Amino acid sequence: MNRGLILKAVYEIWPTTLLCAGLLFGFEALLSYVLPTYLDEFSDQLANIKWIRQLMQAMLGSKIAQHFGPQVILSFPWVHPVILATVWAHAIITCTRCPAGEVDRGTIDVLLGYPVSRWDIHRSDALVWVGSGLVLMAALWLGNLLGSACVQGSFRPDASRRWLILANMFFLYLAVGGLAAILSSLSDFRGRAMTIAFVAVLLSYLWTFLEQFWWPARQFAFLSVLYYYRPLLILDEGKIPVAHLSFLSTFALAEWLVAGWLFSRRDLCTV
Amino acid sequence: MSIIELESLTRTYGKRRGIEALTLSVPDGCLFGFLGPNGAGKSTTIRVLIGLLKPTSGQARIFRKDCWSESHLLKAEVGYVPGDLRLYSWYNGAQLLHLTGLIRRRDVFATGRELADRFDFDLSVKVRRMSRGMRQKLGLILAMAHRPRLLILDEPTSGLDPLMQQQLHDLLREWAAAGHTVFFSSHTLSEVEQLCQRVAIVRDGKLVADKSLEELRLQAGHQVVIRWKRPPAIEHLPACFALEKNDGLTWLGTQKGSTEELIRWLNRFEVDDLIIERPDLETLFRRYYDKGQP
Repeated sequence: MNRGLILKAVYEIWPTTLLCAGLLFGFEALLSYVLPTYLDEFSDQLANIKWIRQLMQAMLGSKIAQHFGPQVILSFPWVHPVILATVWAHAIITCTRCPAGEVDRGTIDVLLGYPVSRWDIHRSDALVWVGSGLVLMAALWLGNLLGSACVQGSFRPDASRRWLILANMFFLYLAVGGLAAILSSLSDFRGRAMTIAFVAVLLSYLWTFLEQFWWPARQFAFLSVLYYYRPLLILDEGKIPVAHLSFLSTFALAEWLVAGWLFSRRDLCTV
Repeated sequence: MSIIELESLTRTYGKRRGIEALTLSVPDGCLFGFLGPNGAGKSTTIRVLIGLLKPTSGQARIFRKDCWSESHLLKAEVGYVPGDLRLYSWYNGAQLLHLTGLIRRRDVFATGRELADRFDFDLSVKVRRMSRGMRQKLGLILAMAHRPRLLILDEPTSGLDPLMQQQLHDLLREWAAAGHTVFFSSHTLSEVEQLCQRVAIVRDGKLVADKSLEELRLQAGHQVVIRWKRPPAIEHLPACFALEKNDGLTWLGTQKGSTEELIRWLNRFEVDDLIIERPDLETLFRRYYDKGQP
């Protein structure tokens, strides 16, 4: 690992990380407090409205009963679109910095003028990416802790289940980042790589929605990355989602290796 | 010993030509000029040397290390200023110098500061607030701060004022005198003439010359200006003289054979004035640029 490269990457992404972490902390705290406090009163009425139930099922990725129990309400802050979009946006921004960002900006000549291999750059960037992902998870954890501290006991998630959801979310973050890294390695334009990555995760999100209304989509639900992120199941069962975690981590690692391989072999030209 | 060795180096961009079968060697401690018109393949060659582009065929080596597979190893002793230099806009000069030291794992700050003083450069200014010339100076400082054995400069004086260009030339001469090698790409002929001991000229992706300036001068045909009292018929031109311009009484051309032969031919006619001289380098380079031969 090269200290200079790590420092450079940290310097470049700390403002984005700070902003995203602040947003995640604030929003998670708000959702963890507001939803149990207010939604509980209307949960029966809401659960009886078909489209709302379907919408909730789509977001949670699981069937829910006629009554929104505490687990449903507790899992909602972990699947809210703002939370997911912020986590994904951070992964995509961070993982398209190099090489697409460097080529786009024209600084790749200077960077590769240093005595560092492309794998050195890829490794150092990955370290900072994983580190900043942990910062985001810590922000979510703190937000959830703070928000749920202000509600009645039955709406406080069990600490171990909270950790499991965070682990699931973290591997989801890595999988999305890995995809962005591959697109970055293939592209000379950061904007293009970011757009394609964002469209891919958006489609994945929409696919889980479609799954609720269209049976062929249900047959191929496994194609969506959100299929492997199920906070409601974790809150319900309290078991480690081994299959989901294994899939996401293996997928993320494979993506990262492919991205590094592509980066190390491709021609880089700024003009 | 050769610092840079290119062997039949070819690099194409799909169907588009980059460089073709370039064979070249740059000796140690030399100020080497790499000349050619825009689009001739200078920057492509440099990008292959730096490891940004993979050769389509052939080999490029620096310090006997392969420029693609061992690029990161050889760059410890290489300083590089790209043609279209872009730096990280959020840093200032001192921060970039510090970062360069960390990445290179060397203390470069003292030399960097020395160079900054010499270039009259303020290290506290953010890159985004710098003019093009200032950025170019910073690029040079960053490339030279670790005192590399080989300096690869792709049109480094673009954006520098004449005074600064002169200072850079002086500095590069000092470096070469101290045993460093400078690979200097340019399309400015006078600059290379002033600075370099040896030049390679590329045209349409091919090497058309690789010689010392003195060799180039000697090899080039003499320029001949003849002012006639009464010019002979053009059909009677000898093989030793190539007519390039005919203004009636004044003929301009190149001597192709021996001077004796030319004089013997001229003696047969009424000559008012005669000038036979070596061409200046600018003219010589232009011949290479235009025709690929002197």
